[in-house]
This record gives sequence, structure tokens and C-alpha cells, in this order.
Amino acid sequence: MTDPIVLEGLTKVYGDLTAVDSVDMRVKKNSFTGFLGPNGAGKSTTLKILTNLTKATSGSAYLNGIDVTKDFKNALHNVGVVVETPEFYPFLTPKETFRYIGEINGMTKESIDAKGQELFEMLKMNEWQDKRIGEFSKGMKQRIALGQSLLMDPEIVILDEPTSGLDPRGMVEMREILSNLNTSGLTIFMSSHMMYEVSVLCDHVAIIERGRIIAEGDVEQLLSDNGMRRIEVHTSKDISDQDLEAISDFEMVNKVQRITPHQLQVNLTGGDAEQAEFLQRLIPLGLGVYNVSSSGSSLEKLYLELVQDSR
Amino acid sequence: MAGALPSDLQQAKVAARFEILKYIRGKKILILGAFIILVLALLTAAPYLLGQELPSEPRPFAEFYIMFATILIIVIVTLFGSDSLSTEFEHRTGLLMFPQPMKRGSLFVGKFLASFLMSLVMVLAYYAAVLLLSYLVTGSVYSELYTSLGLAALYVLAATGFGFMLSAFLSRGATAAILLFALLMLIFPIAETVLFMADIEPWFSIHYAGEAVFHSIAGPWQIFMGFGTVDYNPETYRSAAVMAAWTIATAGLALLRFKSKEI
Repeated sequence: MTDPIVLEGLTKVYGDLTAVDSVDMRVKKNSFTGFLGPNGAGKSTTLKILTNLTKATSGSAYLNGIDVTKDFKNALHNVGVVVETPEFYPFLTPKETFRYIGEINGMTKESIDAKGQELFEMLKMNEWQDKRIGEFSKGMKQRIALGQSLLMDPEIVILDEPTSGLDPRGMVEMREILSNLNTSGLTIFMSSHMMYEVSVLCDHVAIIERGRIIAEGDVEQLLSDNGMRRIEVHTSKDISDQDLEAISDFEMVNKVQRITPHQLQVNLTGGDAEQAEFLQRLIPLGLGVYNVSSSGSSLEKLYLELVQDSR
Repeated sequence: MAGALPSDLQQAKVAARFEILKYIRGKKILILGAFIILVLALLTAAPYLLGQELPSEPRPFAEFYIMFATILIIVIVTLFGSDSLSTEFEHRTGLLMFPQPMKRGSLFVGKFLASFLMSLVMVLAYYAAVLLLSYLVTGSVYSELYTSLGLAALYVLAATGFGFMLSAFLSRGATAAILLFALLMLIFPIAETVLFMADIEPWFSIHYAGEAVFHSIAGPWQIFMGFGTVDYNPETYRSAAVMAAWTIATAGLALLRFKSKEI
């Protein structure tokens, strides 16, 4: 079992409601995996089981090979967690909060202070480290929350809706910090209902609906497999019906749509090679192609279609 | 970066240390400090204001000051021991603490220790002042004052367990505090009166056992309760055992609830 996060038959039942229904899933090492799903789909419950906030009815949830449902203390060692926007003890400063969390995790005072300093700089919280958290805004608290999750240099970080409740500026700041994290070899598993956030940050995605995983894998691969690699083509000449028909006959084209007389939106199947071949065959049609760009809403479209299909 | 995980007990000690820091930095300690000084000042000044003097013998002197000790304990425990658990859910600090690699039992023990120790320190401060005043006014200390102090520590323990139980089962700390205060100050004494009317000595009541704090000095009293006179005699050893049982039962229930409660 090499994957850092593995779920096997994970189930959580509340009375008549099965919130998580026999979920099997693997999160690859060093990936930034987005965990998507509509409200009530089971993503928060899954993360709460992983972080010992609730007990599973059955199944297993492994973190670094240790089953959280059986030995959460060792499973959560070397795992950083941020669940929503947690509250802090208002009488403690960020520095003291780090000491509290660090000591619980077995760190020495020296290593807590050294790592804490590094994190305060990264989080731009240097001047606030000795102020009591009770005075902090939600965005500042969320940065401290992220900081405490990174204090132990964890191998896994689990984030549950890390930007929920933040104002637009706070969201942007948090995303900037998160986007820089993935370069440090962490495995990050993040639930979110914000498609833009996931498309910007994540290289892998898992989609849950009604307690079941309906899709998971590499984002690009998922988009390709589902004909959702979407590009926009701008031409200098009018696009005729014959041109549209010719393009739709290309075997890698899943769907083609004329947005304006000089603009097409094309859904492709396959990966980079198929896109390259598409362009090679498009040019000879003589449409005067001067710009080709990826459409940012592909993941959202895929998500909506998959969720729709599963209902 | 993280070393080996500390043992459950070591983690409980860390939690206790930071909980104590919370109390030291909070307003409760100032409020209680002022309250204790006020009680001592009132008790000391009252006889002189009424043209009388403080008792000159150690035993009546101790009785005079310890008469109000149980009320003081209830106030102290209400402030230090009634919202410690519920706050983790009410203020969502549990979202930070529960995903840490620490058993909730360790967090519970840390919180319980901190609450108990803070309450005990306040009670000790009161008894220390009474001891000092007794030396100054009577020239000695009634020996049963030390027994009373031991029973006071047990009452703090039992009341803290009871407070923790309410805190674990109720979602709001303020509700737990009000209920704890009302139960120990009002509901239990009323229930005890009813039991006395039925000719049953309420020796099993936490409040009645707590009264041993005073009666270990004053001895048994005959009290007129409207319907007749009753022997009010919370015996020292029996009361100590009752308070120990209340501690174990209520703290145990609190722990079970705290461990299973979802945020």
C-alpha cells in the first residue's frame, strides 16, 4: 500500500441516511487532489472520518498505511489538518498555539520555534505572532490554521473547505499560499465546492455524489476521457456549416459548437497528442486560425455532467 | 520534524498546562480573587460593624469563616469547571484539537486537571487566609480545619466532575454553568428537605456530603425545617466516600460523552 491516503469500503450511516456509501479511493503521493461534490454529497463526512472527527460505520481509511478507524493517534501523526475555519483559543498567541500543537505532536520547543518562524514568514503573520488570536480576522485565523497544519512538516495535508467563509481577498491569499505548497512534495487532499479553486490548484480530482465516488483521477485525463478537453479556436475567416461538419468528423472531436462566425468551442477526447493532431488537421481547412486557447470551465462542465448523469 | 508521539499522559499534561494558562489570562481568576477578598473582608468587618467582636476561640472562629466555604466552592467551580468541555463544540475549537494525534481522553484529563487545580488554588487561598486570621485573632488554629480543607478539596473534585458532566451533555457553556449553580445552590437543598420530610437522610446527595466541609468543624446540627427538627449530620468519612463516588460517576459519564460527541 504505497498511496498515502486509501479508503476501502468506507461507509457512514446516520439513521436512515447513508452519508458515505462504500467509498473506495486512493490519493496518489505528492498529488494535490480536489475532493468535489454538491452539498450533502458526503465529502465533509469522508474528511471528518479521515480526521477523527467522526467514526465510520464500516470500512477503513488509511493514512500512510495506518487505519484511522483503528489507530487514529498514529495514523494522524505527520498529517496536517485544517477543517473549515477552526476557532482558536482566544487567549493564546499564534506562537503559543504552535507550541501547544507542536508539543502534542512530540516536537521540541526549539524545533517548534524554528519552524514556526519559517511559517509566520510564509504566511505573512510575522508581526502578529505574539498577539492574542482573539483579536484576529477570519482570514488571519485561517492562515494560522494552515500554519499549524504544516508545523510538523507533514507528509499529508487534509483541507476541508479551506477558503469557506473568507472574503474575496482572503480567498485569493489562501489560494496563493496553497498553490506554493504543492511544490514541496506534500500530498494534499482538499475538499471544496469551488470549481475554480480546484481547477487552479489541483492536479487530481475525485467527485463524490450521494455518498459514492463517481469519478476520480488525473484532472487532464478525466477531462480527456470524458471528451471535456475544451478549447476555443479563433479564426480570421467565417466558419461555414461545411467547415463545422468537417471538424466534427475528426475522430478526436467529441463536440463542436460555433460561438460566433469567427469562434469555435471544441470538446476533444484524448490528451496532448490528440490535441496536436487536431490542430494539424484544422490548419489545412484554411480558416485563418490565429488563436487557440483552453477553456477554463471544462472541469465545471465535467462535474456538472457527471453529477447530472449520476442522478 | 515531529518526534515520537508523546504518551497519553504526557499529552494530558501539555493540555493541562495550556488550559491553566487560559484561566490565568482570563477574567475569571480576577473575579474570583476579588470575590474571595470581599467575602473575607465582609466576614471580618461584620462583627465590628455590629458592635461585636470576632470569636476568640479557634473552633468558633473556624466555624464562623467556614460556614460560607461551600457556597464559595460552588461559585469557584461554576466559573472554572462548567464550560471547559462544551466550549470545544460551542466555539468550534474542537475542529483544531480533535484532529490532532491525541486521544480525547487525554484532552479531557488535561482539562479536568486544570479546572480542578485552579479551583483548588482558590479554595486553598481562602483557607490560608482563614488560617492566618485564626492565628492572628485566636493565637492558634482549630485542628479540624485541616479535615475541613481535605473535604473541601474533595467537594471541589466532585463538583468539578459534576460540572464536567453537565458541560459534556449540554451544548452551551452558559447553560451548564447556570444549571450547575442552580442544582448545587437550590435544587439539591430543596430535594434534601423533601427527603428529610420523608424521614430519609440524603447522605448520598453531593450537596449534603459537601456540607461536611462545615460540619467536620461544627459537628451535627439540629435544624428546624418547618415540618419539624432534623438531625443534619453529614458524617466526615461517609461524605468523603460519597464525594469520591460522585467524582468517579460524573467524570466517567462526562468522559464517555466527550469521547463520543460529534462536532
